[in-house]
Amino acid sequence: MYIPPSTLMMLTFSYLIFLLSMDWALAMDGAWYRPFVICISVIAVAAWAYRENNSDEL
Amino acid sequence: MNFELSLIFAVGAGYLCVLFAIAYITDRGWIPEKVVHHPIVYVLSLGVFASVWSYYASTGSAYRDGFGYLAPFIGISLAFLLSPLLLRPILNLTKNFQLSSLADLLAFRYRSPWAGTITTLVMLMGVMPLLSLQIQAVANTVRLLAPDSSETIMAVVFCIMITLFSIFFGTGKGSGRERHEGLVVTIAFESVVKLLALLILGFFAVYKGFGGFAEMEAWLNTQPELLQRLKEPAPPGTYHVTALIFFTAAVATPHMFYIIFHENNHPRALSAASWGLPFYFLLLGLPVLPILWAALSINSQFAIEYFQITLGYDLGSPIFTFIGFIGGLSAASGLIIVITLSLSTMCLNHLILPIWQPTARQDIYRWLLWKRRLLIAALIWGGFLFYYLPNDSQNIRAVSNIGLIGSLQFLPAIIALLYWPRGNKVGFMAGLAAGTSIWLIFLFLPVSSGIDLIPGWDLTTREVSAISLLCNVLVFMVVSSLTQSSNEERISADICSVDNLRRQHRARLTASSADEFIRQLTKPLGERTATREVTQALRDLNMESNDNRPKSLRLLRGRLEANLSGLLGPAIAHDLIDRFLPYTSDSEPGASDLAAIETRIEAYRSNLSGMAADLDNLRRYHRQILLDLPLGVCSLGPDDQIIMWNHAMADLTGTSSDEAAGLHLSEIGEPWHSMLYKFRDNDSPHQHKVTVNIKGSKRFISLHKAVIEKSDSPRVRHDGVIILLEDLTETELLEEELAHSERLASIGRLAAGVAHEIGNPITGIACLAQNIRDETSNDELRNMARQIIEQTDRTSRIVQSLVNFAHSGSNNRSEQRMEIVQVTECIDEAITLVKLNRKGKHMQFDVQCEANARLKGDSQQLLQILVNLINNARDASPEESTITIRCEHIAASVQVSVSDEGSGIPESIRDRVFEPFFTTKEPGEGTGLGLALVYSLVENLNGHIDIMLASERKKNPGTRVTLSFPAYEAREDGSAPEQTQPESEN
Repeated sequence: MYIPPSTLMMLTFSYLIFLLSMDWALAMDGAWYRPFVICISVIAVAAWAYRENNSDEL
Repeated sequence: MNFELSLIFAVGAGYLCVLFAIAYITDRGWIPEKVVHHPIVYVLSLGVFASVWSYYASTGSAYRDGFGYLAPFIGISLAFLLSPLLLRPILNLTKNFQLSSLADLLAFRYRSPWAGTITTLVMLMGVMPLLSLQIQAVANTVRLLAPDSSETIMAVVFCIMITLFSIFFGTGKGSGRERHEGLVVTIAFESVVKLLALLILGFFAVYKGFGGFAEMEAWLNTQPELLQRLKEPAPPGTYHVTALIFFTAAVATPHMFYIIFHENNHPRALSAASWGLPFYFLLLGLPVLPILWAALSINSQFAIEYFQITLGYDLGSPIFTFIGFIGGLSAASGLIIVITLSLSTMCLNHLILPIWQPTARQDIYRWLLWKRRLLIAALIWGGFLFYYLPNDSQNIRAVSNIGLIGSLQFLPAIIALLYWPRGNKVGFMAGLAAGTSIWLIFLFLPVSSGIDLIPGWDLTTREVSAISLLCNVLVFMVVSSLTQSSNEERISADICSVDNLRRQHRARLTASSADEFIRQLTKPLGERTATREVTQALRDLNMESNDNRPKSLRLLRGRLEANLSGLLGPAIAHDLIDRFLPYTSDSEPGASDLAAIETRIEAYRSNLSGMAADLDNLRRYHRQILLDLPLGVCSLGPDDQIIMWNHAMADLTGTSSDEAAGLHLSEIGEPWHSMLYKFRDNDSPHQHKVTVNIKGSKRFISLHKAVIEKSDSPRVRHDGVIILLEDLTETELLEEELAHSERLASIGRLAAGVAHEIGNPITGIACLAQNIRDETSNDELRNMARQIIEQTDRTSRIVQSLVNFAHSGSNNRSEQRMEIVQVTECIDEAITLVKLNRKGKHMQFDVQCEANARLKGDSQQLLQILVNLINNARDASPEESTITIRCEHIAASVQVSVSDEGSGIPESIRDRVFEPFFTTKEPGEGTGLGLALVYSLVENLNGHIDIMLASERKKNPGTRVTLSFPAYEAREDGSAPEQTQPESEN
């Protein structure tokens, strides 16, 4: 099964950031929007990973 | 809340009219194409997925589940973030084979009309609640705003408007294959409207409800229970099933499949959607919490699901109520339009067409258009009935989940079609039946109609989802492993599988031209449709209608099947193509189409890495060696089809590699077909110097062949013959020239010896004869002596010619003078010499010579050449005729031609004119050494001589002798001049 490097990188980043920041995001005394910050960082990495070079047409 | 119904109606109808207007101006081309085709429009149109469940139900979810309300957003976002693994391969399949729905895709993959039919039926069951939910949401919100109004009437009005819109802007020209740009732009606009509505309501909630973000945070800190519910991690697995359901929904719901794949205009747009859609859902999810908290902070008495509408009323700002209403209306209407369009195509292809097809006499496109329109209306009003008939209204979340869990049952088949080629139709149907049965028994029937077939089993929605999916997967895998796939299924699995390269087969079709395709397809489709479809397929492939190569016809067949699949569904299209455009029975079933494989590898190349990339590089290197080999390489399959045709072969035959590949050997033209065909059947692996005549010139070719034996492995079917063609024409000509030079040299040596041996006695005879002539008074004797002297003079001239010839052929260039020769001067001198002869005085000379024509060599040799040629021309010409002499400086050479108006040289003696002692003149008129001498002298000057025959000159018959010498060029800077062509070896 072929996994494009961009997807692999994005997956690894997402896994690590969720692993490292879930406690921070859901801390009772933390700001309510913290989970959204994590989501937006994943989306930003995805946007970078899937920029123009990912246009293979099989 | 008590708004005027007329106001609500005006707002709703006005909004729907805006939608009509946007679709209309887009279809008319008034919006620039770059805007319509921009990826952002595609991304926004995917926002159709955010229907009333995300618009209204998310506040309820956030209240109950805290951040768990984001699970659906995360599920759908994951599908897009992982698009290279799931969506991109499916996009390629749908584009290549014109598949417009999941039913099409599964029917195509599992090669069964039943697969499409069952998928459509399950999809109908799953989607109808979702459809009715949208109608219900609109009716409920209207009732909320105007309690005196009738929900049913509002629902009817809404359905009428939506039906009209869908029919006008969603059915196109009836083929079902075209993209609906007006619709896509409208849906994108609706996505913007609902996003803006929610964001405005979110800010409204923060600033009007709390007074700002800090105040909202402060209020939140006073709500420990709410905070606890919001942030407390859920038990493992709580939201995983929800996320999985929505992950599957990205592909398995008809509206998402339709927008993602059918309305996609470029793969780049999907790349943008990979992060753009998650970002859209993130923005959509962000205002939900402030809206919820603002409504809770003022103890709103309305249902949580409708806080988006009621918040404005609660906070005394009715305008925000209408903003919330418009947002909800756009969410509901967008989903209904797209769902009905996609479902109508599915129902038509998989429920109607298998049992009821138009006849060849009917206009198929019109027939399909009207059936699709009727189906759209039927589906919308079916959704209305589903909403209207039940006595008790179900809550939004439950009904929504029912539909989406139904879609979850397609997940195993979707994953398998890309990554598990072993899966087959029996396994797919068995798995789907098992999963769907559990969904029906434990969820759909109890929730939708209150029927509990197995009482006592109190399963939660999450448990039903997990159990049904598990059963589906297990049954699918077990049954697929225990049953055999058909050959067609295996081919289809290869096409769909991401890890396998497509193995097209090199079979021949019974139809041998595009015209025959039309004739065959006229039987089921009618002449008009058949012609239109074949023409369209030819245009898609950029192919000429007279291209009858088997390779091209196979491509045309594949394209036609794909196009008809978009029109009639893959099952009907496949059946139709198989019946009317079959392969010949003697086709090699396993012979792979290497051209197709190579094309696919080329396209896949950027995805290769590691060992696969190395292997590909190696393959390309070896292929390049074969292509650039200076020998012609032609590879033939067992059916005499040309598989490879390299560059040298293309140069030799004048047929390019692209034209030749895929042709049958008999179609390659003469003389190549006969030569290759005979050699292919010949037992000998080599054949030397075969002569072929190409456009009047002879070529000498050696042939070599190697036979590729059939492999025992069923996966390797590349048997055939490789033929090498070695063009020996140049070598042969050089050999002939060498032999001629050798012959001249030996004759020269002989002539020198003969001249020496004869010269001395002749001189003696001449002296004695002169003595007799001078010393005797006997007239008779004096006369005889004079005759002897004349004959000895003649003999001396012949001997002198022999000596000259011998010297010219000696090639002793060290004795040759090297000077700059003005060709014009030589020509003038030669004409003067020729004119000294009596016969030369009666000739006209037409001389045109460029003044700068110069060469480096011996001027006496050039003079001798010219005198000989002009003398020959004079002898061959009638009296008073013109001898034309031209001298031109062409590129790096000086060309001198001498033409006469005689009868020319016959073809039969052309090869002999340069042989010593060969002459056509009367005995005593010539020695036959003139042209042989000229040939040698021209060689001495590094030149080339060519004789044009009379037959080749239509305008001016006679003979033209053309000499070509390397030109002498003086340097412009005044430095030592150089000869343009280096001297050959001394």
